[in-house]
Amino acid sequence: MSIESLAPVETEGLSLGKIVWGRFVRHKAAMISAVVLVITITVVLSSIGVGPIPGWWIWGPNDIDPTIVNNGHPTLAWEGWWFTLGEHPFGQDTIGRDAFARTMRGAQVSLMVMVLMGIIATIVGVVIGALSGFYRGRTDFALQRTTEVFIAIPTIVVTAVIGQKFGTSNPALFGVVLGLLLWPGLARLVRADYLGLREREFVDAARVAGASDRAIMFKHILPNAIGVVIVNATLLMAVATILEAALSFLGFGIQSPNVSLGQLINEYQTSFSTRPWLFWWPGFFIIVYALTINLIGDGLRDAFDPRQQRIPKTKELNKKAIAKAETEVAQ
Amino acid sequence: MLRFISRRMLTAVGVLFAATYLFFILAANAGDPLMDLRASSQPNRDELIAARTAELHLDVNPFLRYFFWLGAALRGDLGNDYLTGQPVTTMVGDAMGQTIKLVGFASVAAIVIGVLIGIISALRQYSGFDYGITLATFLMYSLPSFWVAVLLKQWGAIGFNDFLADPVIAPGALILIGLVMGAVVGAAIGGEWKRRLLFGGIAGVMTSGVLWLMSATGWFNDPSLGPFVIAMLGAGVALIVVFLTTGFGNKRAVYTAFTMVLIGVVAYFPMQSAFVYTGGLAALGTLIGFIVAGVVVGYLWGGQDKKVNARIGGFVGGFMYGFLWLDFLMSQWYDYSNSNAINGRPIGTVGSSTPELSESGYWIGTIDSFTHMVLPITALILISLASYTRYMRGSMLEVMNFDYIRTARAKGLPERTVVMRHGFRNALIPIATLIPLDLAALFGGAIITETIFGWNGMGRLFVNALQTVNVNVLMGYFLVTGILLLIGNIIADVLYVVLDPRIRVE
Repeated sequence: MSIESLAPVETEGLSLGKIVWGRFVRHKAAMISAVVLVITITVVLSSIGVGPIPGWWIWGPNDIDPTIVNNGHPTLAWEGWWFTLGEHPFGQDTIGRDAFARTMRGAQVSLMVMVLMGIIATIVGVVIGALSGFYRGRTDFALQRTTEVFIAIPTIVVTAVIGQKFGTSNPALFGVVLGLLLWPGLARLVRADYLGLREREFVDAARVAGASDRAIMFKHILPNAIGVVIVNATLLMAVATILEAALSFLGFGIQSPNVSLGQLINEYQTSFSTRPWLFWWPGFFIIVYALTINLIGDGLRDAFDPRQQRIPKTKELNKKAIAKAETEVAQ
Repeated sequence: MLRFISRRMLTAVGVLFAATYLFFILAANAGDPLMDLRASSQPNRDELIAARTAELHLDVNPFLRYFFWLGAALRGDLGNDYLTGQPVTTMVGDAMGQTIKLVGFASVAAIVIGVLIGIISALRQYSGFDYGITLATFLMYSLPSFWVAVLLKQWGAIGFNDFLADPVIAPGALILIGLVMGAVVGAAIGGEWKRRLLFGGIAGVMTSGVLWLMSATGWFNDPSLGPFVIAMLGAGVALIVVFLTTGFGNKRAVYTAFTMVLIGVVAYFPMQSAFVYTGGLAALGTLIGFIVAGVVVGYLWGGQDKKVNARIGGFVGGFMYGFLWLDFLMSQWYDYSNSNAINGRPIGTVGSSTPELSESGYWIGTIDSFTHMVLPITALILISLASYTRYMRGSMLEVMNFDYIRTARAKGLPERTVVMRHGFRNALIPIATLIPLDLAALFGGAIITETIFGWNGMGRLFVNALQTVNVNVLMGYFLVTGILLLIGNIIADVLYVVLDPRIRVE
């Protein structure tokens, strides 16, 4: 054995972010989901364009094609190794509107609702959970009872009121309202984390150094609780996709002439026996969103949890590669 | 503990007050309850509007109007539906009955299946079975319930009814079902490849064979079990129960289980005439009778572990009665599916029963509600199964890594005892605290499933009331579900302390 191999090797310390990212990248299901989600979002945003920016698809969601191609059947087809879109890949509805463009618009709206809702619910949930867990006592009691009231109120009533007062035409408003309703679960988890973290030494150290309560809560404790926040915010977004669709389906969410995935399913369920494809595609996109986000959330949970062994360590991967190389050499 | 519970009750009342107040304001603003009258062209329109305004106190601001409702509610009067004049209490009562039937059935099934799959998945961690189940649960978790429900209604019902009209399974389908069954069983069994192939092969061939036999003999048109099949099923249940609880080494347990199977088969003949006169209550009574008989038989076989034997006896006895009951129910199928009201399309998609058959007795009535429940229950199970499976898997994995499991193994306990007595029971604690909350939420009904399948339960009551801005009905609904949810919350907390002695009440 040579002397060099015994000498201490300089190793760079890894930040939490780097460790988590490294573990996440090795989580197969989560990585595949992330790629699928990115591709889906790219297609959804670029096809019909966003706002004033035009997309590559010829039809808009409300354009009417007077000639109904192939009786409204989808023209999406496999030709050898690749698929062709045709004139109306997802078919047309009875008045000739292009189902692909409508589904894309629905997917854009659902995406926007999901992101808005995710951001707002996360902010509210973190702030309330942090205040509750950090101050304990009366603040905690008051905030916890408020949380219980919010859990008890059915979401659907609030969206019905919003629809009544402000019209059903504004998906952005809908996303904000959902965000303001769906924070309780996250707040409870954050509170539980804060209750434990506030007793730790680094909080005392920060206080001795003269940090304000706000700085302790959000600069010192929050980075230690970030795993819970990120994972649950992700999972919440998956729930929100389905919830948005369900509310729109029942008629208490986004309504025609606005388009969302749930609204499309609601609109086309009566034509199920004659044009089932109109019903298939919006549902497919809801599942793609919810499934990929759920799997990403699961991957993040594993990545943040040091006890998790489902993700292979780099060391083991290297070992496997070496073993494989050795057997190949031996042959 | 008592102080803890009473304090929780007190805050729950406060929360309920705040929540009902907020809900009332929201509900009152959800629309215009005078809409239908404003649009009407009746000559006495203005009087009708005035009458309804007076009845619902619409001239009072909602912030104050709440106290009219509260005052009446405290006296036990929840008001009436302004459209039909029906009292809210009876409406909620009826809807609750329907919901408990549908959602209760589905929840129990989802819990049992979910716990079972979760355990197997955890015990075979990182196997193909585990990955398959994980992916499947994530997929189910991501399914929009309304989409599944509409699909089941439009495709499931039509396909199922077409199949029942001409119940022949094609050879290709038979082989495919057998292969899938074999693959699943093989993966779940685990262990060496030889063992997996053997068990998977047996399961696959048996499944295909039985289905072929059913298809060839026209079993689906006139199903029945008969004493022989009941004996076989009973023996299967007896073997599984004994295997999971004590193992075959315990002879008295084996004797207890098979005595009950024998009693069940012998009871087949007298029960055939007894069942004809059976109603709902009598059926329940006989079930209890069978369980008690099983317990007694277990005690009589005795030995050192009377209690275990009694439990096995009761379990097998209950199952034997279940098979007898099912057999008789099946014997009524032919009459049911060929009756005029059914018209050869037995699987219903709307409502909870066929109105024409409402007077046709216990058995036909039971079949009728089963055929109406099949699709909504399938939809509900598909959606709620995933979370129980995930939860049980996680909980079981955590428990199986604890030191006391290693201790149990180290002192030489058989794997069955380690898994069933040390692992399974402790893994159930988190699930058990989850269930009161879920059961409380269950009374809120399955809004979407009930709406799509036209089931007059709580969820549909709520949506209909919301559409017509029927504040009294909405408040009745919210009061009942809110109270149950808060009680469920308290029970969950108490259960946690009771089940896990490490947790103490502050």
